[in-house]
This record gives sequence, C-alpha cells and structure tokens, in this order.
Amino acid sequence: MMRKKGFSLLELMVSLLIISATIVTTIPNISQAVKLSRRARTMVTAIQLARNMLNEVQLEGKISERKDDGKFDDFEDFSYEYKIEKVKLKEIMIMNQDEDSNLNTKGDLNVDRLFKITLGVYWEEAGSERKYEVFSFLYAQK
Amino acid sequence: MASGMSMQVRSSGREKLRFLSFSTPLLSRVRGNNFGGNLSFSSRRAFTLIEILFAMSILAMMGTMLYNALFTAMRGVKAVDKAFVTPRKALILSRMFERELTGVYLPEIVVPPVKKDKNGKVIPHKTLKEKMEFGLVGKSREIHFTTMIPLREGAQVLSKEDKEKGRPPLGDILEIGYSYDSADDFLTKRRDPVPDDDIDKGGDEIEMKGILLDEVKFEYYDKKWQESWDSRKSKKLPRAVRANFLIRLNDKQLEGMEEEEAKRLSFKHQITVLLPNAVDNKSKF
Repeated sequence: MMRKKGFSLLELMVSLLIISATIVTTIPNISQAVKLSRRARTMVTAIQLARNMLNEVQLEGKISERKDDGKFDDFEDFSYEYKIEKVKLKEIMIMNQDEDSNLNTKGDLNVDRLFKITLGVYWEEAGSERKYEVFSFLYAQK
Repeated sequence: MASGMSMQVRSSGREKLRFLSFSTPLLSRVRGNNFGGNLSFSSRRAFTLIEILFAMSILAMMGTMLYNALFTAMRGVKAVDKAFVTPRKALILSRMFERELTGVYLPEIVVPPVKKDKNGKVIPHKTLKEKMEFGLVGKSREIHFTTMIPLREGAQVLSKEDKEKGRPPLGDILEIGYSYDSADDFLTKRRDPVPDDDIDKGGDEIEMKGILLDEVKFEYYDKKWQESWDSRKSKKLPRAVRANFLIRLNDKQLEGMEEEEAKRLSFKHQITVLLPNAVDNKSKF
C-alpha cells in the first residue's frame, strides 16, 4: 500500500529557515549601500571640479587649441585632463557656398572662434581608476 | 446540535489525556475521519514534544535574524542619509553663490537723480559714483557686492516674510554681503535692498545657522588668484570669484560619533564663478 505523506513540521521549518536565511543575508547589504553613498559623494565633488575647470579654462588668456593635464590644487585625489580643439562645422560651410541661400551666414558666424573642450576628471577608488568626462563649447572673444 | 456539542467536549477531553500520556497521536481521531479513512493511524501522528521544541527554536532563530537584518538595514539608511547631509548643503550654498555672483555689476557711469530747490533751481551735487559704492569688496573671509538678481528672485518682489517684517521692496540692484567668523561656525548674510554709500555695511542680517562651516576662503581672479579685492580702489571687477567651503555636520548629528567618522562625513567644496560683467577697461574703448 502506498503511503501518502505530506511534509512534516520539521521539514517545513527547515525549509522556512533556509528561505529566510537567504532573504535576510541578501537584501540589506549595508556595506554596498555605504560604498555607493561614498561613490556618490565623490561624484558630487568630481562634477563640481569639472564645472570649475570649464570656467577656469576661460580665465587663462585667449582660448586656443591646446591640451593640458594636472592635479587640482586643493583636491589632491583628483586629476584632470582637457583638450581644446576647433569645431569643424561642415554643414555651415556648405550652406555658405550657396550664395542664393538665405541661410548665408558668411562673415557673421566666425567658425574660427568656436572651440570644443573635452574634459575628464579622474580619481582612484578601491584600486581602480574612475572618471567623469564632459564636453562643452567655448566662444573666443576677439 | 446539543449532542454534537457534548461529543466535542468529550472527545477533546480524551485527546488531552492521550497527549499527556505521549502514547497515542493527538489529531488521529479528528483529522483521520476527515480524510475518508484511507490514511492509516500511524501516518497521522501528532507532533512530539521534541518536534515542537525544534520548531520553536527555529522560529526564534528566524525572528532574531529578521530583527538583526531590519536593524542593520535601518542603520544603513541612516548612514547613507548622514553621508549626504553635507553634500546637499554644499549644493544649496553653491547654487546661491552662483546666482548672486553672476549678477555682480559695476556701473561705468551712474546718473544721479536730479534734485531741485524750492525755486526750481537744480542743486549741484557730487556724482553718485562718489557718494555710492558699487562693485565687489572682499577678503578671504568676507565678501560684499552689488548685484542684479533676476526679477523673479528678488527685484520688486517681496516675500511673505519681507511683507510681515515691513521691509522695503528690493531694487533692481541690491547689496549682498557674506561674512564668516570662525568663532560662529556659520556665514552671516547681509542684504541691503538698495546700494548705498557703504558697500560692506547696512541692511538685514541673516545668520545662516543651517549650514555649519569649519573653513571658508574666498579668492579673486585677475591675472592670478588673489586674497583680497577692492573695486573702490581698482575701479574694476575680478574676472572670477572662487569660494572654498568645508561643511560639517551639526552638533546633534555629531552626537556619539567618532572623530574620524565626523571628519569623513564633512564635505569640502569649491566653486568658481565667472563674473560676466567684468570687462577689461583697456579693451572696451
């Protein structure tokens, strides 16, 4: 005769224990949360330093094609690297060649004075290098 | 109905006896009847004492673990929240600075209002530029400036608090000052609704006690970073202003915290603001 047997209380309890142990150990990962919060704090600083750098680049004489890198004076853990290059606006050049076009901007828009800056802020975190990269446009005054 | 009731009382009494004797199953009679009699007596056994004790101990363990997990999670929430107190304040402070400093304005020529005497004759006066102070005056721990703030932010508009305190409406250009005393640990903001003959005095004072600072340093750029600036003497504005802050937690948040953690949770912040109204006098004419 086949014996129809359900789960015993003991089996039920042991399986419950295993399930709850899994849930309890995986969900509240505090160290991960703290690590992420630290990373976010660092990101706030990195973004602010990048914004400052974009402003400070405009202070040093005339804007021209150049490259530079170095460390931030007051934030030794962070370093930067930037590149300023002329913008090539091919589309606008083509429009300029069409003399009948109303969009002729020849003489008004001096593409020579439009520059693109690509800036990266670097820092080290838990042994690996992290970066925040941003680009913007600068218009050189006469 | 009545006989059924008596049956139940009787049967439960018998089970109690059986349970105490540890020999026969507790639920055999009650459950066994419900399952159509297919199940044998031995498979419908009751729980033994050892099983119940085991189950209780497991439940207790689960309870403890769950409590621990929730407690840890709450601590994590608090830790993350605390980690962001100071960066949040830094962002508030830098937004305010950026908005106000971007509008710093030094008029080239100030046209004074015409004043007439009783006979309608114009009273000669010194130019306003001599009587009134505009521009930016600052040292490493204080800064005073006249600024144009976008209309929605201040000019001509009075806040509810301003109306209650009977403050005069703000002008298009107002005078703002920040000063930091290391004994106080906070910035004192000064707001004068109209520029007057002293750029570094007058107006309402607001103690910004919500943002505690361990360190404040202002720097002014013109060819190089300088520690002080006085546009009353130089007759021009710096190209940029840089503000350095070290923001710390307040005393309540610091309670029971180790010094190292407190140091880690304070936030060093730097903001560089370009002054678009700063023009090089030589290139202008």
